[in-house]
Amino acid sequence: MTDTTTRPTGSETDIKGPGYRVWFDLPARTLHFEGVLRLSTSEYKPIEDLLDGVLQASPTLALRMTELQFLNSSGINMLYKFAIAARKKGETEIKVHGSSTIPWQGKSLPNLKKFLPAIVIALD
Amino acid sequence: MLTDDARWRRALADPEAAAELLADPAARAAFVAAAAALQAEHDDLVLLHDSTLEHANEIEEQLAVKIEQVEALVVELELRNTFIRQMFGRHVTDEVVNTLLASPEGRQLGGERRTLTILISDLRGFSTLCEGLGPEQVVAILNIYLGAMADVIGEYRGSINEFIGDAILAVFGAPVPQDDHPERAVACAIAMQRAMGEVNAALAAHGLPALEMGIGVHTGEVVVGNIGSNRRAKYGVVGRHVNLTSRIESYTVGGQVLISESAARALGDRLRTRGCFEVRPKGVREPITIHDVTGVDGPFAIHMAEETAEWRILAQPQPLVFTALEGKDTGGQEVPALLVAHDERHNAELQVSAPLPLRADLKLVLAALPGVDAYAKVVAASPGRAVVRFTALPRALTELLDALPARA
Repeated sequence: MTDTTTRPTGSETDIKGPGYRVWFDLPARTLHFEGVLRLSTSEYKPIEDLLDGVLQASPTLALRMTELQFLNSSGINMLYKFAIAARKKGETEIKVHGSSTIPWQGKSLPNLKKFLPAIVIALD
Repeated sequence: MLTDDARWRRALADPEAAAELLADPAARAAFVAAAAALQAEHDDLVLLHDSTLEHANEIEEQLAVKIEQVEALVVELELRNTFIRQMFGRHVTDEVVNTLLASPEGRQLGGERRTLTILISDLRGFSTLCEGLGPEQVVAILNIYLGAMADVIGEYRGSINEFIGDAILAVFGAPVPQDDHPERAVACAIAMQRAMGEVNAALAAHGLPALEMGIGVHTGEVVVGNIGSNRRAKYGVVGRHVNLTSRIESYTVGGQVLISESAARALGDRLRTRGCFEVRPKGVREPITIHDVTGVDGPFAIHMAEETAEWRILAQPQPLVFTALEGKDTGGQEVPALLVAHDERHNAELQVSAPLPLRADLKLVLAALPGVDAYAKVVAASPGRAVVRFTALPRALTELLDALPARA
C-alpha cells in the first residue's frame, strides 16, 4: 500500500500533494510554490528534480513563493542547495518573489544571497 | 574527492607517505586544488547548516507563539464554557449543556418524540404565604427551596426543564436516555419530599415560614428538543403528557407524591403506595388512576419519612363555614362546620353535617377570623366527620389555632 498522504501526483512540471502544489509556468519561466510544504528530505526529490531540470534548460528563472505559507527545514535546505548548484553553474539570472506578510520568508529568503550573490529577492 | 584516491588516503594517514607523494609537483598542484575545493564545500555546508538552522529557529519561534495563542484560547474557551454552563446550567443541568455542547445537532432547533418521565412539584399555598412577606424574603425562600430541590434532582440525574415561580418541571430520560427513568423520577420525588425537612429547618433558621410541597409524576410520550427561535431557544419538553402531569400534581396535598398509572406500571412490584384512586381532570376524556406513593424498593430504594404528628384536640371546637370549590353537591354554598382538632402537619378534623367527597377542595373561613380565607383538601371522610389538609394556611390562622387551649 502506498502512502497517499504525501505522494505527489501530476506530471513532472506540476507536482501536487495534500495542501501544496509546485508547478512550472513554461512561457513565463516561473516556478510556483503554493500552500504548505512539510515533506521529508526524500519526499522533496521530485521538486528537487524539477528545479534542476528547469535550471539546466535555461539560466533565466523566477521562483514565486508568495502563495507558500509554510516551508519546513528540509524544504529550505533543498532551496539553498539549489542556490549553491546555480552558483556553481554560473551565469544564471534567478529572481525570487516572496511575501513579507509570511513571517519566515522575510528571514529565510534573503539568506539565498549567501549562496548565490547574484540572486534577486523581491518581497512584497 | 581527495579520499577517493587510495594514494591520497594513505598520505592523509601517514606523514612519510605524504612527503613522498607531495615530492611530485603535479601531485602537489592536484592536492592544493583538492584542498581548496574541500574548503569551499566545507564553507557551503557550514553556511547551509547555519541558514537551515536559522530557518528552523524562525519556524520554531512562530510555533511557540502559536502554542501560547492556542493556550490562551483554551483558557478563554474554558472560561466561556464555565460561564455558559453556570448560566445555562442553573436551569438545565450539566448533562443537557454537555449534550448540547458535544453534538452539533444538539444546537439545532427541532425535536424528537420520546417516552420520558415528567416530574412537577409545586408548593402548597405559596401565594397565600407570600402575602405577608417582603420581596427579599420571598426570593430568599425560593432560593433555599429551589436550590435544595435542584440538588436532589441532580443526584437522580433528572434534568430541570424550568422553574415556574415556585413550581419545578423536571424530566427523566432526556437529553441522556435512561432505561430506568420512571423509577429514578419516583425515587427522586420521594427524596425531594424527604429533603423538605432540611429546607424547612434552613428557612426557620432565617426566620422564614415552613413550606409544603406536592409532587406529580407521570410517564408518557412527549416531544423533546430545542424549542424556540434561533435567537432564543431552550431545550424543553412539550405535549399533553406534560399538562397531565400538572393535573396529577394538582391533586396532591403537602408532603404527597402522586403518580400516574403508566409510571406505576413501570415500577411494578417495586412501588409502595397507600392506594390509588380515580380522578377525572379537566380536559381529559377518560378518568385516570393515580397512586399515592409511600416508597420505592429495588436499586433506588427510598421511603417517605414516617408521619408522627399527633392530633391536638381543641377544648372549644371552632365554628367555621366552608365552600366546596368544584363539588356539585354543595354548589358553592357556604356550609357550617366545626374544627375539632388539628396537627402540626396542617391537618384538621372537621365535624360536618353532610358527607364530603374525598379530595374535594374547600375554602374555609373561621368565625373567629372573618375575612381570612384558608384552603384545604379533604383527605379522609366518614359520616359526620372529615379530615382536611390545609393547602393554603394563613399565618393568622396558624397562630390562632396554636394559641387556642387543647383538651387535657
